[in-house]
Amino acid sequence: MYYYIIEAPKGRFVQRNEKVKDILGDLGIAGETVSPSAARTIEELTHLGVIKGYSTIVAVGSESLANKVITALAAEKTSGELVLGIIPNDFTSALAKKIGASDLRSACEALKFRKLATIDICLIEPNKYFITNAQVIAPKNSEIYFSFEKIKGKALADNISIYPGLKIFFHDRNLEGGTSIKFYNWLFGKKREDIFSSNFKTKRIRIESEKANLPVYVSGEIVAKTPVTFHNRSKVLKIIVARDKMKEKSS
Amino acid sequence: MLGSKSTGPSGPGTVIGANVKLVGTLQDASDIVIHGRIEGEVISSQGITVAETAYIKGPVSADVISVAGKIRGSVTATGRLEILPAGKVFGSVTSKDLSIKSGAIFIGKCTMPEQEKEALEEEKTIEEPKKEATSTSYEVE
Repeated sequence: MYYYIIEAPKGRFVQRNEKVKDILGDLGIAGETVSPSAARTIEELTHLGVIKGYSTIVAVGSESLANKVITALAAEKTSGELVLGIIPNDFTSALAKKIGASDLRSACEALKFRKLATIDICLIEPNKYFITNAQVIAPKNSEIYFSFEKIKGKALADNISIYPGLKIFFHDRNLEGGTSIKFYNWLFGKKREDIFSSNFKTKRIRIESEKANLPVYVSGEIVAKTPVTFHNRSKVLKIIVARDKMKEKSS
Repeated sequence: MLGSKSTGPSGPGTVIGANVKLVGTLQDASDIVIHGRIEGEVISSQGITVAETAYIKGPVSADVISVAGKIRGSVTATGRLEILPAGKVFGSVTSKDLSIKSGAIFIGKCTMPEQEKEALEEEKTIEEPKKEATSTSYEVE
């Protein structure tokens, strides 16, 4: 039996949640459904599901909900045995791509067929997890200090993206150039050679900013501020993916 | 960029941008492209591209190395080493296959261990028949 944590219905999602319940019923995988409220947070509901003995917790809603469920699952002692299912809101999102679901029905069917994949998740110290990406955003190009493995570094960047597997991508605003360069490139359809962006992969990275504490965004929400440390936790989370996604992985 | 739906960076394993300065050992099993400044060792099992804006102060080793920037340190390529017209290398180089383009600057010692072996063997094979020839002429005398 599955334990569904359904994001509190808002606006257009009221009907959607009913539709999800109908599809789950049709597929014969209906289970206990709960929704977070002021009285019960997502973390509390997840913990409750684990206590009740559910081994599969399904997050129905936004990426933010999924990340909060993951954070709660990671805190459980039995986290290695727990499985996460996801029915995303937005099927064009990185989250939907991650599970290989193209629409509501395929996401629900994936739960029924229960193909598991073990994936990396990223930890933002002390206790926030994410599975798609996080961004450190500066209003303008800023001096960023970072350290990983045996390296200390300094970079100019206005945006740092962090992906699971701890792939780090630094975006330097110099890449876009000034107004005249932008206009010239637009006029002649030219693309400036990218010598400014940086990317690399590591297991742990600490990021500090020169002056102000820069915000760290995960699924559009500020979850931390610099200085911040990211860790990769390799192959620790079992998630249910669509069958096509499995084929894609094996090919 | 916020809320970007990209699934992550693509291309070479490691890219160091022009406005990045690193101190320490940079190591990657896949390709490394450097546009910035590194003080320390750079190691790759595949290729290292040192772009025009790059400056490396320290040893560089990889299978294939292409230099258009500046390196102050030893360069070891198990495969090919190419110093392009804008490239500057101050230090010893070791390579199996070396190419230095016109305009490039290379100040240092060059070692080609495998070629050296082959050359020595070739010399030996040339010298041996000569010895035989001298001994024959001696007998005639």
